[in-house]
Amino acid sequence: MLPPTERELQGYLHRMNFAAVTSPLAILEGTAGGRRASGPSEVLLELTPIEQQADVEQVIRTILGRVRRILEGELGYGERDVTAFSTVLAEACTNICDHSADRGVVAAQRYTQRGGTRYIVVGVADLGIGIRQSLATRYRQAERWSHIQAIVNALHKEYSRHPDRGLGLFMVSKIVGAYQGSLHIRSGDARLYLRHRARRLAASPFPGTQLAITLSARGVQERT
Amino acid sequence: MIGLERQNPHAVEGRTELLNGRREGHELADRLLAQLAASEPDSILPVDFGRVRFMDFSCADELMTRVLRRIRSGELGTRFILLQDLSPSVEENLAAVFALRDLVCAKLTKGGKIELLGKIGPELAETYQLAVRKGTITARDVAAIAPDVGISAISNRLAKLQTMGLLVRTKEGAPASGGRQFVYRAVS
Repeated sequence: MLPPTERELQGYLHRMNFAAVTSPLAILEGTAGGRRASGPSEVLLELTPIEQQADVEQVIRTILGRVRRILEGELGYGERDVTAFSTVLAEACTNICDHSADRGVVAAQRYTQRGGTRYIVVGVADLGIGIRQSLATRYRQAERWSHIQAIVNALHKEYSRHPDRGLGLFMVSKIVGAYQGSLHIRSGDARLYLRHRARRLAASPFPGTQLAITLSARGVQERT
Repeated sequence: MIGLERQNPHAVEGRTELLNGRREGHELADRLLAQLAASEPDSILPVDFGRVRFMDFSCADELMTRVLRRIRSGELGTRFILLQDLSPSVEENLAAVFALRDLVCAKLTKGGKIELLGKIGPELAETYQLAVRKGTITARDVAAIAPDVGISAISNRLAKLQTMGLLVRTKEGAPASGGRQFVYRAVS
């Protein structure tokens, strides 16, 4: 893998722990990952591999420790907000362990818009079996769904009469709504973007699942 | 007359103080249900979350939905639970579970008061709190605080609270005016 030549981008990759996470998968030529950029870091959570429950616990521990101070100090988050953020990460990462049949990665950053509004972006991805196949292992009818149908159904509180269907992704969408955020889901040949309403976007095939979650720094509304 | 005896608390404990995922919730539910089933009838098992720093939604859902549905189904007879030592973080996700699954459960606050956590209408909550204050109540007791509500509707309230696992019918009384009268005790 050839790294970028731009210093700022090299610094970003270093801050995000890119070289360490990709080293089992690729040889990174040159000096990428070895340079530290100047200026404040916007990193909340570096690229973190997720393979088993212990990895999810470590992510939660990081959020409740180091990241909590940033969330409280810079984004004005209170106890409920930190819980909501931790829940979003825990649900998204646990889905990798429980449903992807593969490993994945998670990362989070904070940003500031031009007008000064601060927000967080969380990225979670795996190259596993994807949402449709994951649902099909539990509900046979999912085998006949399109990928977009599978994503939409995974977000619904009740698409079937099954009383014990997992609601992790549904809860993520509820929290995102409460924080005036957005949820971007990509799996198979489908991509769905939710912000106030759902929109289907063009997508190239992706075997696993990608989530991009944004949460604003504006405080809490009722989740349910 | 049935009295509900409080058992020694059941401590919710995972591999660490951070509980996450449906699998862990399932294991926790198995342990809690086993202890509930083994406890004496006419009893309340306090479920202590003092060793839980964080519990995500999926874990809370798997644990509490299984347990509360088993209680509400009557499979466990007159064995009930009471939540205690909830951190704000844990209570937040439990409340989210209860709201989505239409469940409610009694909890003991740090100040020693009994409150309800979950989805319940104000009239039912008021009736339950009356039972907590008085120990046992009848339909006539409820009518005394809700004079505009018919006895039939009040009886429905009490039956509903019994279905929700918040009241237990202890005996049938014989009021001085004649007829039948059920006596209910709060799960608290």
